[in-house]
Amino acid sequence: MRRFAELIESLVFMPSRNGKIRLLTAYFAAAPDPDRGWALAALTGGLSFPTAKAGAIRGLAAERVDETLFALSYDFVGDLAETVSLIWPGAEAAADPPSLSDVVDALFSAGRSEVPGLLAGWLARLAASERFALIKLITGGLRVGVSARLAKTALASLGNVDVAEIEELWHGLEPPYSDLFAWLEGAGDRPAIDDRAVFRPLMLANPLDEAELSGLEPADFRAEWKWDGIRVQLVARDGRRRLYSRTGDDIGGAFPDILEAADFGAVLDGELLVVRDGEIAPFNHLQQRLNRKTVTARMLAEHPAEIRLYDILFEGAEDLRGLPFDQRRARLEDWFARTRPARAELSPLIDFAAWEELAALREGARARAIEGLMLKRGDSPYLAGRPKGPWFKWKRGALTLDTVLM
Amino acid sequence: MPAAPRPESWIRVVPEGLYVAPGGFFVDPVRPVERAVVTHGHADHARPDNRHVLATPETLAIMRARYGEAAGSALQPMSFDEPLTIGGVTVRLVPAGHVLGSAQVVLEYRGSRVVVSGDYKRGADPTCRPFEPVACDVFVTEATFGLPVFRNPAPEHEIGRLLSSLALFPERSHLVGVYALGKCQRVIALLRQAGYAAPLYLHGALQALCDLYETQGVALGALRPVAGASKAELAGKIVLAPPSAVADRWSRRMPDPVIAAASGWMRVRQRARQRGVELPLIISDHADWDELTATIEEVDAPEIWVTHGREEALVHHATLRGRRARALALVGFEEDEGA
Ligand SMILES: [Zn+2]
Ligand SMILES: [Zn+2]
Repeated sequence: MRRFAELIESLVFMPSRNGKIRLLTAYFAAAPDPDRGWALAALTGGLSFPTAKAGAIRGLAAERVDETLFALSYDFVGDLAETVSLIWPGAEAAADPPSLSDVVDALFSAGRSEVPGLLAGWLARLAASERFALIKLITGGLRVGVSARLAKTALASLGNVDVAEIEELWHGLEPPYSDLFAWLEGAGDRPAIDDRAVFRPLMLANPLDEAELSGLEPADFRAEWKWDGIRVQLVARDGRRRLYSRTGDDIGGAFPDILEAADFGAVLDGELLVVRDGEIAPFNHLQQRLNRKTVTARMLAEHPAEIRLYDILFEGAEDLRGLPFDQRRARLEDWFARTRPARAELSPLIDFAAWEELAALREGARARAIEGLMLKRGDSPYLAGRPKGPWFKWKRGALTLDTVLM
Repeated sequence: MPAAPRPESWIRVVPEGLYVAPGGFFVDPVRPVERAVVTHGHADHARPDNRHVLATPETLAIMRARYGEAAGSALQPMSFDEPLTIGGVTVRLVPAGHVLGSAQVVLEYRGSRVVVSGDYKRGADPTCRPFEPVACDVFVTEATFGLPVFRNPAPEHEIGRLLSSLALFPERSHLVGVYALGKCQRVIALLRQAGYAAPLYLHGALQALCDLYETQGVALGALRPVAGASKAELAGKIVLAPPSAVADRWSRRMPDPVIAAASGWMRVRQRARQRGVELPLIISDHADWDELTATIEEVDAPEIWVTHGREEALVHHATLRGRRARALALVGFEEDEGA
């Protein structure tokens, strides 16, 4: 717990992104397994203890500290976890503190009624900053300015690998990530994840700066509509089916119709929409589906979902991401013609010869389901993240606005 | 033998400060007076322009260094445990463990004993003599850190954190905000104790008091002025500066500095973050909550007067423990410079 607490403490005060990465990297290099893996899970939001609640903490403090003194202190400090961690009676650093994994293991197997006793036992054996880290850990309040991406960047720097490699593995790994650390430190092979249904990081586009357009060769680019739904990844292989949001959240529970139709083996990139009789419904119809944990038969019938396909990442076990866009598109069309999947349509490519022509098309596109245009280089491989150059999004209305401003 | 007089009958708060009536003098007056007994050299206790000043030789030296002629027209040094009687009041100075020369003022009048402890701490400090508890009828205590959340780690631990940060960021200079009197020299002495022997770089405002400590026999090792040092020279070095200089453009001469601060206030994260501190070092020259409450038990005074900080909690605590306790309405002691 000591190292973890020191890490949390330094992250709280570290203003710079690079500094945070260095602190994390140093921690991952120094802390043992499985502690560092649990810390990684806690920092990336992958650890929660539903049996531990902030109210229990407050109750424990109330049993030990005079009410007036607690109130005056809380008033001064302003944060419950910090107040309790500082005010907790006892020696500053008792012997035999629990390790992070002791805490995690015990909390996973404890029932709700056992939690306060466990907490009191640990708090008595920890120093103030460790108590703070413990309370923040179990109440899920580790707001130390570390995004999952930042933690992965630190892992990449630990193993001297590209962060894209970490992203690639990430959704197939489980805390405490011992296999990941072993690989990063050269003590083990790259983790053999069960990748049949994992999320593959999406390729994202940069907004088009129209001044750049004159420097771009229209013949190098393909254009397609940018639909006003939500960008998803549909993964289906060996009977495993998953629907992921752009950030890798599994949203399949709200779209059983999409999963049911995915009776094929492919990883597809597309736009999720509600489509009625070939008409794309307004975005809020899709939102109504999104917000449900479970969907009723009536909801399925009245708000049927469909995917407009943009790209194919895998066909069966074959990784197509290294191929240029044009070849992937050919594979997608070919696969689509053979498979004829239900609840899916190809998002068409738009023919154009000059930017003006495309601009006019974009201006004329009044359908509410169209958000704008996507421009993709014909030779672009499918890369994780938002690389500069290969893909642009050209949202509707931006040009008009610029014209007015000038 | 007549009963000892009630303390309020001979020592009381007036606008100038704490007045000892039979002796005709004040302890740490906040306005210029004829006769002052001064506990220590911090500016909220030792003010200029009093006429007669009684204090330890170290405190007088500090006052002379800070105020020159304005330190007082008659400066009377008084060593620890050499009592003096003034108008029937016996005055004795006893170490307070706060900064060099800091003293508690022990006052006895017709069998009644009041200890005005000034600022004090109980933890070890290589730069000054440790606090000595004196049993008394009234203990006047500070309460700068008078809340039970202020419980400080060992200063050696905090110095260890500074040194680990230096190891982790060897290309950055570590700029530590310290008060000029006491904290600066204590941090230096703690670094030396931890085995850090490299030169330390000082903001110009810290030099004079460091020199004074040296002449009073506190060895501080190699000290160099920041002025004139190149950016390259300051990389990976520890630089000490007053908190005000850390915050302003002066600090831009440092290569990508790690902003640290050594203060008891660093215990509370929000306070540290407000000051833009990246490395808070909890090193206090004031008693923390445990020291305050333990000291009250130790001197075992039936009556406790609390001043200088968060009086309410300490008064509440002492009352719970069966002592008569009240807040002394002294003005001018907010946010001590030596915290
Ligand atoms: Zn002071
Ligand atoms: Zn003071």
